[in-house]
Amino acid sequence: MKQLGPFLTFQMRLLRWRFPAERAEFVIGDLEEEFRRRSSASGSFGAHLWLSRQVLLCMAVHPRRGHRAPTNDRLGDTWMRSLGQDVRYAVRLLRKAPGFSVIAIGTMSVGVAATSIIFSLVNTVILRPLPYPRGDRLVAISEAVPNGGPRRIPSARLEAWQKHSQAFESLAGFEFDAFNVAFGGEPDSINGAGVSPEFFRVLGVFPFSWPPTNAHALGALKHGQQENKRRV
Amino acid sequence: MWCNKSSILLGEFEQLTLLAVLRLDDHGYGASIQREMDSRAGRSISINAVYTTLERLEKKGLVRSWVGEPSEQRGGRRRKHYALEPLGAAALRQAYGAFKRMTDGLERYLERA
Repeated sequence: MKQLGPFLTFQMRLLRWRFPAERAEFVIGDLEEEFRRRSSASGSFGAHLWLSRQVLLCMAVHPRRGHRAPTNDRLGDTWMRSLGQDVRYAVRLLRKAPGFSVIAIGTMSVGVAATSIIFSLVNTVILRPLPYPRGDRLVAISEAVPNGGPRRIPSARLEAWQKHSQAFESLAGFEFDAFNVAFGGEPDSINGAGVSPEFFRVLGVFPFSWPPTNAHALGALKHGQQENKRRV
Repeated sequence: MWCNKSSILLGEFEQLTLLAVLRLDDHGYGASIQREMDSRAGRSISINAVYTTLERLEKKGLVRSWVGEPSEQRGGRRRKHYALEPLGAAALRQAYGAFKRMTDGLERYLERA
């Protein structure tokens, strides 16, 4: 009797591993017998196809030898079974009431969209890092009036802090203000800030070559005026 | 036992399996039963499904089995033969009778091509 090829031998070994011994002998024997019959009747190719399909079916369906069937006393099985039941129940309910399903899915869509928009805003305004190199090391410090708001820091005190502070790498001051400027035509009021000379070095950004000249300051003021008009 | 053994209800696949065993006249085994169901009923099933059904029928007392001699064409392995028990024959007769009574007068619908 002709011996089986290596691929068929491998398939038979898979089945022997898959089935308990008391069934493996009869299943493998039947498959080998039927394979030989089909090979001689209709050719080797068809027989190989048939046998591969049979092996796949057996591997997919029959529980592995010694494998324990799932039971309720195992936490994972209970959880997964419960989850599967819940999902199937939900799908059945939704199919049964299409109107309710549309409303429920619509409500969920609105909720998800609102959450996304709010997160985008919070991320942009609060969470996103400052657009400066090493922005995580920038802090704002101020003095506060007892039972009141922040107090303006005199320039002499800022200089003293700059000279004696050991907690900060460097310090710069700024003060928001409104300026009235006129570039040839009518005077205009623009919002801006007066800053100390170290300000851009502390931020780590240099909008123009350093130190700034009067032309640079004029350019900055013009830019501020244009921005002011654009926002209005 | 709450159910009457003389009125065992058979599933469709169990009926086909028992009929194949009956047709093979006490010489049926896994591969021949599978072949019979494929060629006559057009049911292309796995050999494992055949054995699972036969084991279930044997537990119900509808068939009996015995192991044959090793043969060279099976790589030196043995066959497991199956034959119908009286209870299996009775269950088949009952299923066939029910089928005949239910289909009586419906032939011209059922046999329409």
